[in-house]
Amino acid sequence: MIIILMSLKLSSVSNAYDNTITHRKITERAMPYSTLDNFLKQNLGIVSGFNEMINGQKIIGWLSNGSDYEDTPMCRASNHFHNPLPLLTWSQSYVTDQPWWIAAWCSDWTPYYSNITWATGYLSPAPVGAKASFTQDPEHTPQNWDKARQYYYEALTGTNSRSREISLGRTFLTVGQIMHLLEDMAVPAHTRNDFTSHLIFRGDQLLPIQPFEYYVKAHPELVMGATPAFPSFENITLTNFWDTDRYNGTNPSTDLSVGLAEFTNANYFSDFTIPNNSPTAEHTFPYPAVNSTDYQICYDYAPTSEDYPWLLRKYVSRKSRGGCPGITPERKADHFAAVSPLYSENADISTRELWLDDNVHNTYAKELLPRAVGYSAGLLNYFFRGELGVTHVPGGLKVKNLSAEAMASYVDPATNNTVGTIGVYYDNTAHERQSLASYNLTTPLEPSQGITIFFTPPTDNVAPLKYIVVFRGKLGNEEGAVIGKVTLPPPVYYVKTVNGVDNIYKISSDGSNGTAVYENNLG
Amino acid sequence: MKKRYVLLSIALLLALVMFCMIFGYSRGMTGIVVDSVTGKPVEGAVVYAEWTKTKGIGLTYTELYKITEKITDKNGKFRVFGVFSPFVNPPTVVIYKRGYVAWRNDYIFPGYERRYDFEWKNTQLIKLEHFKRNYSHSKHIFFFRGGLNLGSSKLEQAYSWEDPLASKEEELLRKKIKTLKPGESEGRIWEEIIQELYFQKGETSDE
Repeated sequence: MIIILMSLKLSSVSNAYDNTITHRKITERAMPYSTLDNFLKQNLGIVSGFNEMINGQKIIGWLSNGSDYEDTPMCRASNHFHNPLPLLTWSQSYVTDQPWWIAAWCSDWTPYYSNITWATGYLSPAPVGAKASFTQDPEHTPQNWDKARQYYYEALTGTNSRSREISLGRTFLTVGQIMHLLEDMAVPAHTRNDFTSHLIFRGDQLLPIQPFEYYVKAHPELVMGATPAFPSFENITLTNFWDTDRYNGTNPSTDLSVGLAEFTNANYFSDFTIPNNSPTAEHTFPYPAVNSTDYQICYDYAPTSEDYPWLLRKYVSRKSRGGCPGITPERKADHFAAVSPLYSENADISTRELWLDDNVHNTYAKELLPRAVGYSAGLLNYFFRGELGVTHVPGGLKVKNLSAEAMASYVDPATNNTVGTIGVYYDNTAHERQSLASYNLTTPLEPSQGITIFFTPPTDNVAPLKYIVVFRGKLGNEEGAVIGKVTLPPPVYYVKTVNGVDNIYKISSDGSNGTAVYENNLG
Repeated sequence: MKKRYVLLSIALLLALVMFCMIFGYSRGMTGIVVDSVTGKPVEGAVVYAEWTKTKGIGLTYTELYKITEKITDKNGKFRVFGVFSPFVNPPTVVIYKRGYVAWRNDYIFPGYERRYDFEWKNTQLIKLEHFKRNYSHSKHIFFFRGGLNLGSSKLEQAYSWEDPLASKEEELLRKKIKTLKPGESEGRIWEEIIQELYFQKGETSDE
């Protein structure tokens, strides 16, 4: 028996070239579509954008690592499930179908949290919802949105340059972990309380796998080919990316204004949650509900048709995707679920036993990965959405709110302190960041509005006229938001005579980016 | 007596299986990297090998086990040492040299076809294809760095020259993606980006 098991392990190893890390790829795929690269260059003075090396790793590497590490150790992933149906509150929507031996193994990680709470802290929709307190030991608490905000604030304001660099790396690592959590909402099993489907044995693998996740791992080209589907919420809040609380079990939607968990739960099956197969109560979901009106049976080649070209299979197909196409090697039928060939053509589709094969996984991946990429990119944009415009004025800096939302203060319920300040910092000749001045936002700073912060310029500024402006407070409806802006000294204007004609040029204070402002053609 | 022979046979078989598992990846890999057109050795190519371990049951995860990097010598030769662990996954190998398409042991750029001809063994012959003008640097980087834990590796440094080019492509991508019609794939947009950045007016990227 041991020899057989070991041989199987060998066989799994020999197939493990497929074992690329899906989350890393989804996160890396999302990066170019986000505005992060521009944001870093224009607001933080990070010249190479997300390719900048921070603490021994490129920013893209930190995000990618975060997306990888969120699954480590194994039991952490028990907090990666969220059932968006309203029958459960978000404090109840975590995974409940783990076998006793997994639950026992992971007992240090109890209580479990839903994915949305683990990622955002919210126990009900943001911004007014209550937050979880996460009182376990730090090892078993999440690296979530609030921590990412805290790391970002430390990266902007910390005294020591080394600790600031570490904090900036941690910011991206943590944002990568949050992106992982959101990406998990594009896996049907993670939105349909289906841990059981992670324990399916395939003939060629020693260890049990989750068939859909395994299929996507084995086909990284699907991530490469996923054109992102960006969310478009009516009112954007942090938790909306996961769950807008609009899906109530009767109104499945495919539009981009619903949370990713709602979309996935309502439109796709996982292995043990197919209503036709008489699932257990905890695996019962109202949608998708196949019926003869909206669905049809189409024939297509089975997934293994390269080896067995004669092997056809029946599939339940969505009529909204067109009629049944001809049977070709491209497998153009819509594979929504596989169905036994023994059922007659006229049998009621809603009563047929169904299962999910690799053709179905391919269909699901092509529809879910674009959302995973698009929603991840959207979340990244949401984290870095705040922008400040800063200009030098006599005696200080004029700070303008360039965000689409108001900046304001709020009372932190944990400390009872008012939080809502714009601070000005500089780096002294010892490269220590020093607080120079601050402005308390007693009234909200609406979009396009500005304030002036006055101060005496420090004599020990390592880069004269370079300042770091940091807002911490309420941005729109998000409390604890952080915005950073590194100001550069104003450009120097000068007149230069070329061929007897006076032209006006400007140059950055460090001598770079010389450009003509006005070329006098009158001469 | 018979029982003892049975037990001994089982123990030997177990040892044999363990030996096969360990030996497969513990031995080194040697090879030579050449230009696919001229057949000449490619000096200074980075040979990157990354090993991972898969852990957990049900909720499995992959952990970095080891990274090895070598640079090819003037004869294009390299030698990578293996790892001595029975439960380590086979390595991902990337070979990179500026001006060439990165070579991976699992997939092929630009079409993402699966590579079936790789075996962890000595006397490898790796042919590096030239990087064509109509290839995207952004897609190229995504292809070879995807899923790897590069840190501040030699590979990460070697391809840094592609970053600004990829960055320009991606800036255009963000602008043009808004013109995408529902259901349309990105193919058209990428063609436009490549044409705009790397070809003169009148030249076509199909060449």
